[in-house]
Amino acid sequence: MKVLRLVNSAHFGLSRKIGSINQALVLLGMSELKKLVITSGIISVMPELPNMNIEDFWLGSFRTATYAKWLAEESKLENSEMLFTAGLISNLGNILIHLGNPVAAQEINKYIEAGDSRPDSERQQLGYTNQEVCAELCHRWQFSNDLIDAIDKSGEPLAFKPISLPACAIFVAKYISDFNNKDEEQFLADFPVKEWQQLGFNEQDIAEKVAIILDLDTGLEGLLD
Amino acid sequence: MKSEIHQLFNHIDNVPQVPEVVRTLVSQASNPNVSLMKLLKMLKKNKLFQ
Repeated sequence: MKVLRLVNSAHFGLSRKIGSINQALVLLGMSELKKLVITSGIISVMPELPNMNIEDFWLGSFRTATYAKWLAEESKLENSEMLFTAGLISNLGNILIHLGNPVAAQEINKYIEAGDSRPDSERQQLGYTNQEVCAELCHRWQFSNDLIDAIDKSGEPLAFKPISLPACAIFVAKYISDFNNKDEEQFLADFPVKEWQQLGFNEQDIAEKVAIILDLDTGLEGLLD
Repeated sequence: MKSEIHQLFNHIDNVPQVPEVVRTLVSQASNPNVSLMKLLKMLKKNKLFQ
């Protein structure tokens, strides 16, 4: 789980071993180093839960973060680094719901497995969504209002006016991140085209750009060892 | 905040607290004026980097 160990792992393919933060900064750059420290720090404070596969949870979060950053850069949004962090933590509300109300969390999962939408199931069982819970956690962590707003609206970005483009990026990133759970035909049929178009992309480019996104390497899996 | 969300947080024994270095790095993303030297100093002291 330590950043230095990951930096020295085969993934980064560095020709020599790094022993200090200054070396890491020179070889990786500040942006990459920040990503590793933020991700490692957030993983370190979140508990493991007996009824939740936490490794799958984090792998999904790594993908959402990486895809949200890519979408932000491609659509020329101002703050792609913020979108990485927002994507990374956008699902933490689910962990808090499991911690604070495990019975409702199990019920919500049953409704979703039966075909209901997550926002509807959460509102029915709890009166709020996991994104609202995550937004409150970010507020307590004193994160920026931009980040809190993006997460708060990321469950249903088109339901808010004006439409938040960062929220659209997180929503689309999360959808693509969950690709493993769907067959390709279903994936394209349910694709969030309106949110995609809000980001300035064309509907006919979905297959081509999604193939690029799915090829992105998060480079963060080593933080779970 | 909705009162129901407040209740949820009240039911969690230890609400996770984010490390100071993470808070600073996240806020730095939207504040380019944070000094690089200050960040380096903070990272050097932080056990996450060891």
